Amino acid sequence: MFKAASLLFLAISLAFLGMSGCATHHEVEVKPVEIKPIHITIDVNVKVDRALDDFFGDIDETAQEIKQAE
Amino acid sequence: MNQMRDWRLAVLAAAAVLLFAAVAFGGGIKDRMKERLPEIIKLKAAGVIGEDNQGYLAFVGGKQQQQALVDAENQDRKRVYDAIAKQQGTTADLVGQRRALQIAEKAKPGEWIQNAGGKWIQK
Repeated sequence: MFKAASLLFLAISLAFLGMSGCATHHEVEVKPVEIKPIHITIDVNVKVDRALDDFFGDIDETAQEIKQAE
Repeated sequence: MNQMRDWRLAVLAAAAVLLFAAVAFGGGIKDRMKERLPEIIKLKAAGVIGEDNQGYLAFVGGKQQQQALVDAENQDRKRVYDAIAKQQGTTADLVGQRRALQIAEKAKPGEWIQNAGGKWIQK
């Protein structure tokens, strides 16, 4: 009885040992993405430029006309 | 039903007031800026003023002619930059810096411009 239990214990131990040897470990390195803030900055600049064009567009045109007339 | 109509009328009235205020405010500043343009162009051509890298007029050299006109122009520009900054969720400084780039691009040869590094150069 004791012998049988010892053999079972040994078999289970060997099985665990075998499985741990087969186990693999993967480390996936995730690098920080730095593109997003740049995109946001460009987006704000584009929107601001557009708003400036909307307001100053005709003023700049008038200025160019005055400069050309001189 | 009548309550719904009253709400709609109130919203329409509020929108009309806002639109009028926006047109009146924007129009007033634009008109003033256009009126100042001939004098500002003359002062720039004479090398008395230039455009700094923050989107404002600045005196270059020793002469300080038409100080009141330059101050008034800068105050109106500040109002516009503030309004655009609020609208776009950014700072008035950034708006002014973007405007400075536009002005530098459109400047006539011989006009004084302050570059991003703070140095005054003649285009």
